[in-house]
Amino acid sequence: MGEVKKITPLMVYKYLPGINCKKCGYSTCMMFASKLLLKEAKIEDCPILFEPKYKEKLESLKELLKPLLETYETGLKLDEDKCTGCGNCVVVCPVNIMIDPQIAKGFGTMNDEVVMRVENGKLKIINLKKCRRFPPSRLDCRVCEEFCYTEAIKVY
Amino acid sequence: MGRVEKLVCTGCSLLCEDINVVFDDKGKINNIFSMCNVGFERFKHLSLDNRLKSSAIRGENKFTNISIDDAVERVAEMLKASKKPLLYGWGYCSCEAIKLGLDIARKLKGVFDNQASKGYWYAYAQAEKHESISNVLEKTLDYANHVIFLGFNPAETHPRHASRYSIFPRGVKVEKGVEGRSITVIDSENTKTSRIAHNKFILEAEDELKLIKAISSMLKGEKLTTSISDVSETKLLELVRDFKNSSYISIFYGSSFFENKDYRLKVDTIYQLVEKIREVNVECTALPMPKPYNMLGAIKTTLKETGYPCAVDFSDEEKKHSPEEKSAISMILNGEVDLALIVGSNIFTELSRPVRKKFMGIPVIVLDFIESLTVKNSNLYVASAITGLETGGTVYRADEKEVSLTPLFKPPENILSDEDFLSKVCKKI
Repeated sequence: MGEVKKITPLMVYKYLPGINCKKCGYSTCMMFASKLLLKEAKIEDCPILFEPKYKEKLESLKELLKPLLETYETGLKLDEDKCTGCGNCVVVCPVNIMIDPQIAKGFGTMNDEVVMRVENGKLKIINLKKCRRFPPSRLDCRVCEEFCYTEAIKVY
Repeated sequence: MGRVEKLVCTGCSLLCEDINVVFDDKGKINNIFSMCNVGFERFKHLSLDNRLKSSAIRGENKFTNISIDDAVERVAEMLKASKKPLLYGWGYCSCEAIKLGLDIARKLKGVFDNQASKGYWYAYAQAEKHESISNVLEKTLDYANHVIFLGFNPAETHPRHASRYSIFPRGVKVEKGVEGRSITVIDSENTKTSRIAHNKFILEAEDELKLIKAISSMLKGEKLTTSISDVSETKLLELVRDFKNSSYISIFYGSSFFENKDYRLKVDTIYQLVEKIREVNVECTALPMPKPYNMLGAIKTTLKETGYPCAVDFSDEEKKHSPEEKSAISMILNGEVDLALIVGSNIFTELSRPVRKKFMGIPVIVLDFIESLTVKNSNLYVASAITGLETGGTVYRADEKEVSLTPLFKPPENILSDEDFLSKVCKKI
C-alpha cells in the first residue's frame, strides 16, 4: 500500500526489553510502545533500555523513532492538477472527524474549522496548523498521503 | 456566507446528495462543496463554450439554427416519415423522459434500446436474483470489512465511492473505517484504486475468471489445481482465510465485467463466488457499478413499461426483445432501422467502423447539451437542458435508491428539458 512506512506499536515493542517491569509507569512494554508513538512517553522513561546489554536495541529504537522526533514544522504539498476531489484524505483525517463528526459517515463538509475540505472539485487545505504533525501532538501521521489515489498530496 | 442550496450530483451513478452550492448576494456561484472533479466537470458545462446554445438542422454544408418550436415540428415529421425508428441512449436522462421515449417508440412501432443492452441488463438481473442490489452502498458503509473492486476503478469513474461509502467512512460494525476493512483490487492493469489496496491482483482477462473460480473452490477446502500467472498458492490461501474471517464481503464490479462479449459468463462467475462465500456463513453482495447516472433508471422504467429491460422492438410481436438481435448496434448494422433518435449518449464514439458507416447512412437526431461527436455527425440536433442542474426528475442510484433531482438553475432561452421536448414531439405524432 503506497510507499509510506507507518510505525506500529509492534515495531517499537521489538526494541524494548519485553520484561514488563513497570518502571516506566505502564503495566506492559507493549503499552509503553503505544505511549511512545503517541508521544505521551519518552525513551528515557525506560531505565532498563539504558543498561549496556540493551545498547543495540536502544540505538535501533532511536533510529526507528527518528522521523517522529524530528516532526516539528511540517507541511502538506498539494498538486491540484493531480487531485480528483475524491475526498479520501478529508474522511481519513482524524482531526477532521473530531471537528466535524458527520465526516466520519462519509458526508461532505462546509465546516471552516477542519484541516481540509473539497471545494469546486479539488481539495483545499484551510487549517494546516491543526494537522496532527504540528505541536502539541507532533505525530508522524501520514494518512492523507497514504490513501491518496493520485499521489496529489505530499507530506514533508 | 451567502445563500446555500443542496444539490444532487449527476456526475456518476452514486448521485451524491450532500453537495452544497453557495451563492453570493448577487446570485453568482461562490463555491461548491464536496463535489468531486467528475461532477464538477459536468457543472462547468453550464458556462462552457462547447455548450449547445440552439437547436440546428444540417443544410448542404453546415448546420442552420432553428427555433425550439421548429425543432419539435421537424423531429415529429422525421419520426412520422420513418418506417422503423431507433430510439437509443437514456442513461443520462430522467425516468420521466425515458417513459416519453418509450411512448414514442410504441406509437411508431420502433425500436427502443438503452446502454444497458451492452451487458448491464444481465448484471442487474443477476444482482437482483442474488439479493445484491437494494441498499448495498449503505450496508457496505456500515458492515463490510472486506471490499473487493473487480475490474472497477472508482478513482477514475466514481471518485467518491471509497470516501462516501465503501472504504473510509466509520460504520456501525466498522468503527475504525479503513483500518477495519481489507481492500482487494482485481484488474487487468495497475489502476489508481490499486494504490490503496492491501491485496492486488493484476491479471489478464482470462486469468481474472480463473482466479475467481480458484477462490470459489478453495473456499470449499479444495486445493489449487490450475496455475494463475504470478499468483502464488500462499497468497490465495491468505486471501481465502481473510474471506472466512470476514463478516461481510462487498464486491463492486465495473464495466470491463459487464460490458464485454462474454458478459454472461463473467457475471455468472461472480455470483457463483457470492454463493460460495455465503456457504461459509459470510454475508456477501456483488453490485455492478455503471457510469451513466441513471442507467438503472433506464432499466427500471423500460421493465415497468414493457416487461423487458432493454432492446425492445415494438414492430415484432413474435420476438419483441433480444439484447443480442434487437440492440441498437445490431439494428444499425443489419440496416433494420431507417432513423435514429439519440438521447444523452455519445454513441458515435462506441461504434466500430462497419456500424459507423451504416449509422452515417441514416438520418440521425440527437438531444444533448454539448457538442459531442454524435452531435457533429447528426442531421438535426436539439440543444437540451442539463438534467440535475437545469431540470429535475426521478433517477435511480446504482443500488436502487430513488432520488429526486431539483434544478438550481433555469435553462437558457430556446432550450427545453428532454422531458418537455419529447412530450411536445409525442403529442404531434
